[in-house]
Amino acid sequence: MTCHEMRDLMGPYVDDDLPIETRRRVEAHLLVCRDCAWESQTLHIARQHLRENLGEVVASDAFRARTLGRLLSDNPHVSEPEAPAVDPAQYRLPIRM
Amino acid sequence: MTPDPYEARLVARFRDGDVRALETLFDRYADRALGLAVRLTETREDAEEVAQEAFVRAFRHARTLEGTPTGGFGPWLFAIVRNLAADKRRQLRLPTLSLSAPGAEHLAEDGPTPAEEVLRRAERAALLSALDGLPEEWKTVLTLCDLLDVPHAEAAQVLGRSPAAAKSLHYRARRALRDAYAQTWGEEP
Repeated sequence: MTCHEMRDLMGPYVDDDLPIETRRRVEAHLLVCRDCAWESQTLHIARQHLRENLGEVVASDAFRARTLGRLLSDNPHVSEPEAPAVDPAQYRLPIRM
Repeated sequence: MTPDPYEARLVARFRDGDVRALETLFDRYADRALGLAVRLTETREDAEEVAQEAFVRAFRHARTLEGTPTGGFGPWLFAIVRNLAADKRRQLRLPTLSLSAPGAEHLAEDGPTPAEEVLRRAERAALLSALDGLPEEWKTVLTLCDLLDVPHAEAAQVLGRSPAAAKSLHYRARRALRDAYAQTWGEEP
């Protein structure tokens, strides 16, 4: 494998999105090419730092309540689904006391 | 791209008037829609406003159009978030993101030592600064794919590109972020 071929495979490799055989070829190349190994490692690190530092945004309860309230008023056609009519006889056991 | 069948059923049930389908769809996307808005706007307040309006428009679209929104509810919603965030930035005439993005002020009581926390904050500030300097499209693809775990096929719909083009854009964006991050980090005192 050449560095030129690696260029197209680097993104999928960092995303762990390559078939096993291609992945093995990529890793064999990384063992012998310092430039591509540096590229791969630094992209991994950038991705990891991004996820660790900026990864989690949690919607607050206030935002959820406010937005749901607005959605409900904007969609007056929605309502609680009606419970199916229940016939008490369906729960009667077929035994005689 | 074929929408997720479960999600398509939720959209159909919402259209038929089931409030629980609306709530479930909202729950599925609340954090991610807000997460994207946070990365593409200046303040948390702007982000919440953008995310809320995006939900309203996405549900209107789901209610009034025949069939599921093309490609699914999520990509449609994210595309609206992106457009509204761009409008918001134009209104304010500001670049995206501030260094005081949400989360930095919340410190766990039994968390890192003060020195570790200083390092973490500096690292975070450098990352935000690096991300801030990227073109909006790159920032969007990084946020969708790396932070919100949106598949490339769905990110492609949000960006109006083919999946292959979205993957390529993602790779270029990640390289650019790495280079900008290294530069910003190197400039820290």
